[in-house]
Amino acid sequence: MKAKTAKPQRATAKVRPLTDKDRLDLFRMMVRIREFEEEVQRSYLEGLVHGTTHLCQGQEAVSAGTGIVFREDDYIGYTYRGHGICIARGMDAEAAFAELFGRETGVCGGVGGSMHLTDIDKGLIGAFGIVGGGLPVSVGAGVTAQLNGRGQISATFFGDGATNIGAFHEAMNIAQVWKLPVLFICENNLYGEFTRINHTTPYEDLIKRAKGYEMAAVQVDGNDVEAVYAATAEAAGRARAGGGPTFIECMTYRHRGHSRTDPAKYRDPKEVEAWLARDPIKLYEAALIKRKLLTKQKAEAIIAEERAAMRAASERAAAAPWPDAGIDFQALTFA
Amino acid sequence: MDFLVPKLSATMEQAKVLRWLKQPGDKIRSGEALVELETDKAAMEVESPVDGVLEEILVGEGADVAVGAKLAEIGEAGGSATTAPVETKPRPTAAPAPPPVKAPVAPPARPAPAVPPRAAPPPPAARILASPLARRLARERGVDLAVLARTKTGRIRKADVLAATGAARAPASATRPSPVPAHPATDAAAEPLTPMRARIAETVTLSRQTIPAFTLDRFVSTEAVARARAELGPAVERDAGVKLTLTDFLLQALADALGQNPVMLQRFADASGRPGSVRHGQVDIGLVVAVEGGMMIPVLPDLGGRSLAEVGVARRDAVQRVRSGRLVAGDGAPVPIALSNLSRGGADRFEAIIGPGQSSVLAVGREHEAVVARGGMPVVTTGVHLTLSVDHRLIDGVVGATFLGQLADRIEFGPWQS
Amino acid sequence: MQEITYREAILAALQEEMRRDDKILIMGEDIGPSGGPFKTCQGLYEEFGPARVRDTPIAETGFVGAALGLAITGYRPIAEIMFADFLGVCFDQIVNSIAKHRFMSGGKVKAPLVIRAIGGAGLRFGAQHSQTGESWLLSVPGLTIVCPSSPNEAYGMLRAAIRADNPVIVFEHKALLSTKGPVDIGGPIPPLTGPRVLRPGSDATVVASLAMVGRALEAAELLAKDGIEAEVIDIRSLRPMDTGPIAESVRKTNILVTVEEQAQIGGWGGEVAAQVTESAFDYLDAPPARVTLPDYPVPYSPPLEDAAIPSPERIAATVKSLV
Repeated sequence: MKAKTAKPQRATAKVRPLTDKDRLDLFRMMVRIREFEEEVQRSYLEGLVHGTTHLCQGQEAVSAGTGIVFREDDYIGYTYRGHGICIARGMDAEAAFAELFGRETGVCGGVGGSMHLTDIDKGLIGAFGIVGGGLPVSVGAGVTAQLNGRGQISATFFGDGATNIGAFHEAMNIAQVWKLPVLFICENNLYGEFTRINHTTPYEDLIKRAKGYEMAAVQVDGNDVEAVYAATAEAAGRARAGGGPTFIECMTYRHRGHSRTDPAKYRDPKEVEAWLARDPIKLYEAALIKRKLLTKQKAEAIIAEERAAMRAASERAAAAPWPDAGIDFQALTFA
Repeated sequence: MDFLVPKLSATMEQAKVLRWLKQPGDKIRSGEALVELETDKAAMEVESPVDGVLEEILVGEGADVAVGAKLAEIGEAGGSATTAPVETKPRPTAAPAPPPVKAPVAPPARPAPAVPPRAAPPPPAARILASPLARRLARERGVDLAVLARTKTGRIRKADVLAATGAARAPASATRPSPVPAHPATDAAAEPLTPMRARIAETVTLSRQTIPAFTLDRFVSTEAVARARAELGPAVERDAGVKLTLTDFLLQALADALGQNPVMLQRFADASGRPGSVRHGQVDIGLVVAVEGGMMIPVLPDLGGRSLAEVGVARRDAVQRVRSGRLVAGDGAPVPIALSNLSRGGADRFEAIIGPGQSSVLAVGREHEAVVARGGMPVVTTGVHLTLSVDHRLIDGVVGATFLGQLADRIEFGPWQS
Repeated sequence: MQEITYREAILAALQEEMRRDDKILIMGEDIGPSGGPFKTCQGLYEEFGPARVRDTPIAETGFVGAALGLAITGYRPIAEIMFADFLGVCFDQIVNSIAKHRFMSGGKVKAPLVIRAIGGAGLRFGAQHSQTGESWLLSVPGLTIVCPSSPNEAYGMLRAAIRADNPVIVFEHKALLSTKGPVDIGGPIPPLTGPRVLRPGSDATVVASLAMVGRALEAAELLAKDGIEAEVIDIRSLRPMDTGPIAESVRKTNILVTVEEQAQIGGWGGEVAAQVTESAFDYLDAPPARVTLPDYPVPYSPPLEDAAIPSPERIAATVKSLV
């Protein structure tokens, strides 16, 4: 996929080049996210995950490529399809599984669930289950970042569907008017829930949304982890330096349906096939092998390690106790 | 409006419907005879109190009905609701000889009327409308809501129950409903009643309207009491710190007599909309205590088998509670009988009014010298008239007379134990 | 005690708190140099500057949501909703994000923020600018909802709200803004929630909120002339709703009347009546009564609007019909 870059409004900030270790880390992180989600899927079928869950297989490059950019004190907001960024930002996989399984040891004590993984200590300020609902909140975190004056940024992840809701526009507008250090990271996977973008949105290139706000914007191949990294690092550098927000559109695709109850039969098999061929992990594995940073065997070993680690974390989480029904709910709200 | 069986004579408790003079749908005028009833005294026509339409006849001809039972429904001309029970004016007719008394009829039922023969099943008993507070107070104080409902249009409320119990607590405001208009329109100079007075007025009115009572009288000598008082009084005063009075002796005697006649411990009560009786488990006696501007009736609980000293202490405490305005919850509890002792008053004898919820009341007149016959000789002795008023719905004359005789014997002959 | 207006009391609370803690900032429409239509922030911009007194776009979803973002990252934001009617615009942020964020995080994320919403009828603003909105959020766990009825309450409750570590919605009333009353400037922080008995009485309990509190007190004066002593209670907080003292009062008076400036269905009066009925059923001597707006939007024309708002006479008549 060819990426188009909008004309930046300010001089391009310097981007730290990736080291070989960074590249291997990015590969491993994408594998870890993939294996996490595969384990979630398996656990769901075993009845360990309740209700529904929204998986991000196919979109790992966005989580990994942006995650490596953030500082410990940055604020990250995301959506119900946010497991990837949580893992990328270092959320403990066992605590994440336990949360999905509704266990006491879950990262939110089992109260939040799959759609609300939150870990404020890691800057993971919250997963919002209402489409677009998290964007204004991330704008507020951006105000904090600006007021603190320590070069923090606030990033908010959302899908293509969110660009049609009012909260998106209000958030974009305020962020730009106040020149907030906010990165609007749009994972354009072409489907808003079950409906393809061309039925709901006047154009597929959502970067056009940013023009209305005169916001710096970039469209990248969301399945190219290094391209995501480069665009995000540049935008982050600009934001940290007081250059205001950036809209980053990552063109990507979810391998699965909207949620675990959605077999995604509404998609054109040819479209699916084309995107599966552009699996971000496969693409990057090939690239790293080409750069001689990785061998097929090494790649398989990494996949096996991460699979085993996620399986082990999942099994430990499944052995964790249920929350006490006598839990003090009042304290959870008004402690 | 309800067209009820009026009380056509002092002793009337029931009647038979002889003949309906109007049929459902007939227009009726105030004063026009609607029905002919046969009472224990005579056959009487009962007139409509209002202009309107006879909407529904609830009791068929030949049926026996109790005083207060609903005979028919009258649709009033103009449709205005009334707040008072129907006042009917009986008019004697050329009465045939009274027929022989029939089998006993059920006590008056409210609101289900007596069932007419060959009629459709009776309508279900209408629910008594009472506020939650009124229900609780009635429960606690033994007030029969069914009785109150007969004279109350609309929801029974706190003031109604308090009025029925003569409780000490003043109503929260003078604007509460009262049977006596606080400001009669016809007499601008009239002073409104005090809350206590208004409540007493309502209570005694209710009693007279709803309790078919009869009265029994007996003169008893108090010479034995006087002797026992002189003999036992000082020791009791020394040991228990209470000075025995005639009242204490009367209470102990009354308690003993009640123990021998548990039928006198019944109370008339509402049993899910039908009349019923409650057998009172222990000998609780209400004591009428005069206070400025009125009276109150604190309860002396469980007097059965008590010594004179114990009775004296209980009596003294009850009077003190009244005088200090500190009645306790038990003072609102239901009692089957009350004692009103005016032995130091000016009347030889008097008849007390049975409080709603009680089944009898004992009135004690002036302690005075009187000539009585003893062993064929006139003798001067000191004594009092006992006047016992009894709710005939539960207790018959022969029972009351037996009880009064035993009470009199107990007073005249003791034995008295401190 | 100083005699100041409700508006001045709000301003005094904001000023005092913002001077005390520089993590407190306020956002809203026209609250900066222009001072806004209700002037509840007048002078704040000059004193605290544009970083802490932020004029926002007309975008309630945006800036109310931003308040949550600030709150969970260390600030104590106050969002002013110019007309409480506009709460509808940011309903999702309040209901799904603000009220639930602490809960969904397993209690780990604090959200100390205040939303001030200026509502109420009586100023001829018509149907879309006259609602109190006080019960709109009643069924949302996670929110504290308070309704100051006087200058002193506005001053005290706003300070308490700002110091609370959880989201608080403060419903202010625009018809009260110019009313004066004694305010204990610099006095102790009062309890944020819980009702307050303003006038003792033995014959009926009248519970009111916001501008209806003053009208209930006037009604009590009218009733006193007829020998009826109404106990007037300012409900103060709708969430948490502490009806204990109200039930206590009803145990004494046996009569309950609620007065609120909103439609009857879904109003808080129904909840008060239900809770009091649950806890003091055996003490009720009449059905609880609710005096409310009629079941149509607030009309514009002065005689129509005046007729819609519960008057002291209507409140008194309702009480009279029950005692």
